[in-house]
Amino acid sequence: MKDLAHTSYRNGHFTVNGKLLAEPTSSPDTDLNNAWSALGIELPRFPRMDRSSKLVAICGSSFFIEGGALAGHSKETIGMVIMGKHGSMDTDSKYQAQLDADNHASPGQFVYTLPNIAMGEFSIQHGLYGSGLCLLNNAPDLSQMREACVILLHDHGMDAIVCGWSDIFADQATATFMVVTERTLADWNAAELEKIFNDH
Amino acid sequence: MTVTLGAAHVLSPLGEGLAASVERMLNGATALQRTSTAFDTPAVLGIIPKELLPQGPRRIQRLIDRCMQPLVQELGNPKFTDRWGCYIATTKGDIAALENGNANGAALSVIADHVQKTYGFTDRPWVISNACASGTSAIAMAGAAIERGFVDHAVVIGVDVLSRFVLRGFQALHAVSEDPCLPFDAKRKGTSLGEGCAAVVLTKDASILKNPIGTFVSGGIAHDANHISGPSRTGEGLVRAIQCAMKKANLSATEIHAVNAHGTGTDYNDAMESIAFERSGLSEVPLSGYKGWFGHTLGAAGVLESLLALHALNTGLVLRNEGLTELGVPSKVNVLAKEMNVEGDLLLKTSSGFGGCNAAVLLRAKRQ
Repeated sequence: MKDLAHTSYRNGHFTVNGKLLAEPTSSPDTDLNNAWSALGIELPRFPRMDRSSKLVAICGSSFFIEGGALAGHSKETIGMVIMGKHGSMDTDSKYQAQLDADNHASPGQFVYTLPNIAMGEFSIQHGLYGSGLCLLNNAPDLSQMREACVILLHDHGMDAIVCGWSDIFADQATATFMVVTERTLADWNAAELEKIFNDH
Repeated sequence: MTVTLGAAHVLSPLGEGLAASVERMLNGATALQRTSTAFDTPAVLGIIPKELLPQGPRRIQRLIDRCMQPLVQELGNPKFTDRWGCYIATTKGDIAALENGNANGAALSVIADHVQKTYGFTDRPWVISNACASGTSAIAMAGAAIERGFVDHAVVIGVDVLSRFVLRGFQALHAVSEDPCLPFDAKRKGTSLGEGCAAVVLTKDASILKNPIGTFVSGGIAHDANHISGPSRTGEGLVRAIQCAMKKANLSATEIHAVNAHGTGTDYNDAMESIAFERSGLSEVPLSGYKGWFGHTLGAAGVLESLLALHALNTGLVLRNEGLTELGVPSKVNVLAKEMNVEGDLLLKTSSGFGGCNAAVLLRAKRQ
């Protein structure tokens, strides 16, 4: 799978196709902002997003920069399969803490308390009308990801899927994204992908 | 290949079981009730009767078990080998665990842990969380997985329970009606929240089912890329989801006999849906939404409402849209204020949710 387009964030390192995007710091928030600057992509909503949405936005947007795997691709037929463990728990906890503290429910926080909102933000940023699936699991499950991509590619008329694992909660954040097409499915190498997704 | 649905079981504010629930929708009143004690704030809610589901910890797991046990029994206690898939649709799972600071207990994947361990699924159950389109998305994925040969059978579970977390959030967005919600009505003032669980088997081998209730035809999922908490004004995502399902099945709008809509009772959602249905050529098709009966059950809604609509269509009926007095949406739709006899068997179920998710499934009733 030598031509697999992929992005990852692990141990503070954002990489695009294995190339470091920005120098790591000890803070995921700083890393996210630095990666946003380094990508040089228009993401007007980025400062207002929650952290889960920012992580998906950075990893997914890397495919749309000049020379990226999806640059110039029709946005009508790009689907999304995003998997994570904590979903929106990072924002859920903040919303719950405020509710507990002064019985105030913040509408601005509440709208981010669904795991699929990060995918929704990503679709808005890039004008993606395709099929999308938000999945929760304890760890990256490449079998489920592959099945979801096959169904979206073959039954829902998509021709490329932004597919990956994205998880952020408190100070822990990891993500690995790839672009899945018919060719990716033909070249699918589970052992190699396990290494890309789980090699910490 | 034909993918058949059966061994269905539901639990909602209407009660337990498809037949009893539909009977109440024909001859009874809404299950929405006014309360000021449930979450320390006045609200109209659809609450599962406490004799069916007592309050207390691990409520969502007890609800799933109450729904799954009759399903497993009807199947004759099968082994859920790797030829079985399990697709769980939920939005917030056991979010009440977060009130005690238990973030791990509130994680949605905990539900998959429980279902896998309790029922012995060899393969990891899927947890699909596409906001309020989760249930319909889960049916679409399960049906396609069987057609693609990934599995031979699938259990689809839609589940969500009421919580202070969600109720206060919807109230903060001014999306909750002070009275029982009135989907598609001119006087609608927001949604009502509810809770429920629905479980159903999809299979390529109908002989494992004692009481098949219909077949899966096709599904579609699409985003509207518009706003994270507001639907597209043009219904774009929903139109695309419906088109995806119709194209896959090579069917046209004129072949659809009934529509079960999302119908939340909020101004923007119901308006959006009417526009999408008219754009899809469905203006004349008998249509209803069920949230006036038991509220918005979030991740459970797509599965629960699909099964109720399919059961009704099996008897030749499209049930009424509870609460409708005067239609109040911008585009032409045939919303039913009274149940209606129909000849056909093809049902379109749609759902839409925050994040711009939309899902549609086509199901064919097995007329009795």
